[in-house]
This record gives sequence, structure tokens and C-alpha cells, in this order.
Amino acid sequence: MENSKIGYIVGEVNPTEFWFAVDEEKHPQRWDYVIVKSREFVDGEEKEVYVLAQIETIISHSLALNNPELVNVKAVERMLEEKLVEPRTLAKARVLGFIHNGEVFQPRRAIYPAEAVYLAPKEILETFYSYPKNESLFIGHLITRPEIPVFLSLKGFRRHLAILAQTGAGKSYTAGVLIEELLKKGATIVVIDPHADYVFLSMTRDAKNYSNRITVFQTLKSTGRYNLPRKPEIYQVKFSDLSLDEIAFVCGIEERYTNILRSLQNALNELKDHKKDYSLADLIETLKTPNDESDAESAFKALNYVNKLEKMNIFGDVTTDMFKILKPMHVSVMDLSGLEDRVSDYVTFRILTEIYSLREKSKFEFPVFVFIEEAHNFVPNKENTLSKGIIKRIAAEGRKFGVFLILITQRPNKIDPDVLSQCNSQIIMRITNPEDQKAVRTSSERMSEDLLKDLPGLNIGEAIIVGEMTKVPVMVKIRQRETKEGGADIDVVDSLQKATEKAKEEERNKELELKEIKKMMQITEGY
Amino acid sequence: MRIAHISDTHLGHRQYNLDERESDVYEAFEQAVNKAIEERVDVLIHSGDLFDSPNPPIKALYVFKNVLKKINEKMKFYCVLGDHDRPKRRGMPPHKLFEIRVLGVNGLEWEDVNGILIAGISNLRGKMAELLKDEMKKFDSLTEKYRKSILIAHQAIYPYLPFEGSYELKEDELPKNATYYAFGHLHARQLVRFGKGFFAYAGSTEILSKDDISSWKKDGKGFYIVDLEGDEPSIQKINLDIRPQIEMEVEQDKLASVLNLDFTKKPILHLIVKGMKIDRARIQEKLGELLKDKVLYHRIDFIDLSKPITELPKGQLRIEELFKKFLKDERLSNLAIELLPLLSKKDIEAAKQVASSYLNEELEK
Repeated sequence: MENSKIGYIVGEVNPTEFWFAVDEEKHPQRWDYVIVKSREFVDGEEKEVYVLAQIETIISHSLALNNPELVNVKAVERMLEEKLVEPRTLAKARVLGFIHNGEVFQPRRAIYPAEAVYLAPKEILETFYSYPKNESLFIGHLITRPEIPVFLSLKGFRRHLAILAQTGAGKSYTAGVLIEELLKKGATIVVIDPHADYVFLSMTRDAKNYSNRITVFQTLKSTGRYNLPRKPEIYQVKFSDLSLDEIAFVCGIEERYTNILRSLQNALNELKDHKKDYSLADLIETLKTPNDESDAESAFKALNYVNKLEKMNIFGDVTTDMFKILKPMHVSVMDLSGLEDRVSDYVTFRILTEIYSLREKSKFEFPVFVFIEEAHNFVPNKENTLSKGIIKRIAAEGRKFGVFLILITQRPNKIDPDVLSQCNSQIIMRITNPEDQKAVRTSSERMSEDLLKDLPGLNIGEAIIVGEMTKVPVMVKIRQRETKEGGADIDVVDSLQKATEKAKEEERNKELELKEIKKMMQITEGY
Repeated sequence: MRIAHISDTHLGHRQYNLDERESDVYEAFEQAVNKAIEERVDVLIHSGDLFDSPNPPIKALYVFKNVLKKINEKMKFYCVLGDHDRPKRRGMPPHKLFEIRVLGVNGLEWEDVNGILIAGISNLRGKMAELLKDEMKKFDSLTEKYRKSILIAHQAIYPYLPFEGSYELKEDELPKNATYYAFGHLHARQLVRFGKGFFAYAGSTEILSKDDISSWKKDGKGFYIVDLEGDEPSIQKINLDIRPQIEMEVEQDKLASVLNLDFTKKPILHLIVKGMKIDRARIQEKLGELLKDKVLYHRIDFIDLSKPITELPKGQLRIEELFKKFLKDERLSNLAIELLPLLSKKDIEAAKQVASSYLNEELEK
């Protein structure tokens, strides 16, 4: 332990932070972990404990050079010669807590000046960042100590989680890691995936697949093009299951268009009288031949809206059974790529509503984890969407029924702040936009000003995790995924390769053709 | 510098197989060269189809030899090969007989003529036309060192020849920097502003088919003189005095009205006679008498008003389809297609062979 001593506490000390003089020979890095001995009352007894702290700031100064306006190069050189520089290095550490019986406590007492400061040993860090095996999710390693694995607690999922990061920082990748871990623990997972980013979850890196645990659902005409070991399932909705309001929303008929809505209602009533399972085509036909002449004009207008539904390609003969989507130890990826915003909104609304009601009525017996990618599009700050209501409801009450949200967004600023503040845990990655930083700060009481300052300094794949999932805030390098990441972009690589081949072949053909042409031209002799 | 742009002289062309028509074509060319000399032109540019065929009659070569003497005394001469005079089989073009500069037989070629860029490319057709775009691309970078430049070519350009398959280049595939585009191939004259200058088809010097008549009536026949002295090229249209050709419709009982025509210079007359139950032989005879010694040549089409007018299908006519429709048998129509060129050349022997081998095949079945 003597070896890892890096300094002594100096200056005024309080229970949350302290300064210490740093041994020049053992200059530590920022964000590294240190421990100091202290005495604390636990279970009514005063005990010797090791308090863990993280280095937040390191400064170095020299009394001789402290006044920049008084020194010049010559003066510095002279002082160097005379060995007068005497640099002093100080570091500030933020107290994370001490562990007793596997639980983290915050110190109540000040630590004494002149107490020795040691680099935190592996064993202590490991106890800080691990949990009993059955509740631990392996997320990555400490940024400053790559040998220390970091685990999150499954128990933290008793509340919702947000993954916040700017584009390219690795949020989908991180979500993928979480999905893998949750799946190993037997979770039922649904992923709302507007850009087909999760479709390769069914393939491991070494191309083995555990596709029986993962199902991709596409709509009838999804644009996602990718080769999976198992054909995607189709997600569709039987048209006659739609209510008037739903139809109106999906085709964008505003509430004030009362005449159009009435025509639509009349047509639906007429259809319902005749048969149970009417189709979209039936509705279009009925609107084309209104019973009432006075209805003709608004029926025609309604037709203009309803015609749009044909292109949406989600209305089929049957509604996809929710029990195909909800299975224990299983992930369902809802690939919404290529759908209009309104339609993906509707699909999300529909799926979330069903999940909520199945759990509320205990028809599905296991908790459901819902990952919502691009969450700011479904629960935006200002506008209203169809799915906003149900997401807010799950955010507020879902935990009572075992429906947990994992909201993923690159625009924390654009997401409904109520919903964001319901996310008690947050995985925050690189964010440079000040507006978004502000949104992160207001959403989380755990996010200290100091941590916030570090957000732009994170590298790709590095995250700060705060909240119930971890005993203390942790800076982690997300582990490598076991499954293939990414979506349709894999195809882009492939198709660009094909394009290159084609271009080269065309070039070769052109060369051959030119030779042939030159030969043809030689029939004109004498030139 | 003044340039004369002439094109499509088709020396050796012999309309209606008449000696006079062959001479008309020579005379039009001589007239054009004389006018160019009168106009004190420095350079004569010929944009293709100087001769009507890669194997022109000796007389055409002789006429050109004499005219070339006059040209060489007064002007520089540049030309490109056209689709008519470029050899279709291995061989030399007639141009090879003369000491003349033929540009771009194997791709774009150029010369600096008194500080002006003169570049040209001979006609490329069919598969060879694929080379055209690449060759044309060379032109604009050549012009960077020149204030004035001329591009000579003998090609059909969309939209001047708009039918699919009939043009080799679209307008926007042309180089952009030429001061004057001296083009040949179209027999009707065209002159339009294009890019930094003017794009021109000089047109043919004579009326070589009935189709040329309407453009001759509208714009005349002749060549262009391009003056490159000023900032802007100034272009002058020079018309030639050639044998008139007249199209006329007459009723079968008013044939004498043809006598109202102007018969100076003995025109060629294309008559359409209309009427019910036309007695063709009688009308042919009557018109023959009326027009005797007044016209060089006349030809008559009849429109019988008592018969329903058959409408020609719109678009391009394909002889194969017409045969197929008429004969209602694919093999028979193939035979007809084979026989057509032989019989129109009066190659009776070859036609007999084709016919007998057809019969043998049929009998074997």
C-alpha cells in the first residue's frame, strides 16, 4: 500500500471533497480513483473505513512564477538554474462514498488534513462497481482503469432509463449492450427502431446467431434491406380494428374538419352494419358511393385523405398478435424504417398501448423493457403526437405494472422534460450542444455541475452513468458488443463494393469498345 | 479573318439519273466557290459530304480538281469526311487524290490558323459515334489559349434531327466554347446562337431530294460567310442561283393551269393531280405535251378522290413490318426483304438464286 501513496490531504476538508498535495513522482491522472482512511459511524459503531474519491482537478503552480506579469523568459531560466521553481502540484478529489456490507454510504465526517492519499486498489474499486451476479449487468470498464469491470444493477430498472448522447457518440451501441445483458437475465424486450439500427442484434460478431431469441418485425413494405439468418416477421394491423379517431389521426384529418369526419363516421357505420371484417378498400368504395347526396362533397374530401392510407402498407388482413412480440427472454425489434412519421407514431402508440394494457390486466406475466430509439420524435417537448400520451403514462405509472422505458435520444433538449425527469437513471455520453447539456442538467439531480463540464471531453463509447443503476456515478468505457451493431449501413458497404465493380467493368468494356471502334475506323485508309 | 462555311455539296449526285442534274450539282459547287473568292474569304471550310459517295464518278473528281486549283490560289481549305464520302469498306476516300487537309479522320484534329483555332472531326456513325463524346470533350480545353475557335463536324444533333436513333449527339454534349460551330449533314440551313457563339448547319448547295424543297423556298440554298474580325462573329448568308424545283397540286380537269408557272431556268416539277376516276395514261400524255421543253423533268403523283385515302402510319416506317403485314407470313416477308435490294439494283441473277434457294427450302418441308 505504501507504494500507491500519492500524497497527503492539505487545506480545508469537508465530507464531500478535499484537496491533496501530490507526490511529483506519482502524478495521477484526472478522473482516477483514490482512497483515504477515515473513521465513520456504521451500525452505531465507530469504524475505520476507506473512503473512495475521484480526482476532479489537478493543478500545478510555483510560488516563484505565480505572477505572470512579473516573469520573463530570462527570469525563468535563471530560476531554473538556481532550482528556485519548486513546483507544487495539488489535486481536488470528490468523495464518492465508502462501502460497508456491499452498500455505499456517504461520509458524515470530515477527513483529517495530512491523511495519506492512496491510488484506489483494484479490489476496492471492484466492490464499488459490482453487484451480486444475478442482478448485475456488465456494461464496460472504468475509463481510467480499464482492468476494472463496471456492472450496473438490474434493480435500477425499477425506474426508467435514458440514454443521452449526440449523434455518433455510441448510444445505439450502448443500448445494444444493455439489450444483450437484459436478454441474458431473461427479460422481455421490445425495441422501437425507426432507422433499422437494431436489426443485426440477432447476429453475434462471429456470425453465430441466436435468432430464436430475437425477432425482427417489419411492416408490409419496410425499406430496410438486410440479410438476416431468419426472415423478418410482418407487423400489420387489421384495418377494421382502427377507430374513427385513429383513422383521422393517421391520415391527418384535423378535428375542426367536422364535415369530413362525419362522412367518415357515416361510411364506417355503414360498413360495420354490413360486415365485421371490412378492409381499407371497402372504406374507399363506400366513400365513393355516399348514400346521401348532401354528403357527397365531404365524402369526396374524406376520400382524398383515406387514399393516403393505401400507401402506408401497415394495414393487412389480421392484426399481429402481441404474444408474438412479447415473449420471455426475447427481443422484438420493430423496424419502422421507411414509414412516414405519422405511421411510425401510430405503430408505436398501438404497440405501447397494448403492452401497457396486457401488463395492467396481468395478461402477460413478465415485466417488459421498451427501448425507444429517437425518443424525441415520439415524446417531443412542444408538439403533440399520438404516442406521447401513452409514453407519459408509462413513464409516470409503468413501473407499478412492470413496464420500463429506455429512452434513447440525441436531442435531450427536444424531449418532453416530464418524461425525461422520470428517468431516474441516465447514461450520458458525449454532448456538446449547450441547450442539450442544459436539458440534461435540469433532468437529473444527480448530475453535478462538475460532471456536466466533462461531457464534451468524453470519447466515442465513453459514458457517465448516474442514478439508481449504479452505487456512485461512474465514468465507463462501454464494453464491446457480442452482437453485430448497425443496420442497413452494412448493406451500403456491400452495395458500394458492387458499384465499384460495376464501374470498373464498365471501364473495361469501354476500353474494349474503344479498341473495336479504333479498328473500325481503320477502314478509312490513308490518314 | 473571313471564313466561308460550305457543306453537303454531294459532287457526283445524279437526281433522276439525269446528266443535267449531275451538272447542276457541280455548277452549284463552282458557283459557291466563285462567290467565296469574290467575297475575299481567307479560309474555306467544308463540313462533309464533299462527294456523294466514297466512289464518285471520274467527272466529279475532275470538277473538284479544277475548282480546287482556284481555291488554292485564294484560300486555305479545310474539310472533314461526311457520312456519304467516308468509305464503308476498307479503302481510301476520294479526298486522298488531292492535296487537301482532311481533319479528324481518326479523332479530333486541330490547327492554328492565324491565331484562330480550327478543329474538326470527320463523321462517326453507328458504333463509332460512341467515340464522339470523348473527342468532343477535348475541344473546350483546347480553346483556352485562343480567343476565337471553330469546330467542324458532320453529325446529326438533337434537336435538329429529333428522331430516336437518327442523332449521334445532344446539344448539351457539344463543346461550349466554340465561336462558330461549322456543321454539316442536315440539308436545311440552320443558324442559332449557341454558347459563346453561333451554331450552323450550312445546308446542301443543291436541292438533292424533294424533301429539300420547302427549306430551299424558305431559306434558299448556299453557304455562310463568317467574319471573325469583330468581338462578335458576324455572319452573312450567301444564296446560290440554282435550278428551281416546284411542287404543285392540280385538278385533273384544269391541267392547263400548270402553264401559269415560271419556266425560266427549266425547273423540275413535282405535280400532284387530283380527281375522280383518274385516267392516268391520258393525263401523263397531256401533261407531257403541255410541259414539253418547258421543264427539265416532271413527275406526277395521283390522288384518286373516289378512293378512300389511306393514312400513313405516323412515325418511322419499317419496311420489314410493312412486308409482314402485307404478306402475313414471316418467311415470305423475309424473302421479300432479301429480294428488295437485289431487284432495285436490277441484279436479276442474284435475285433468282435467292428465290430458288427459298423454293428448295420450302419443298424440303
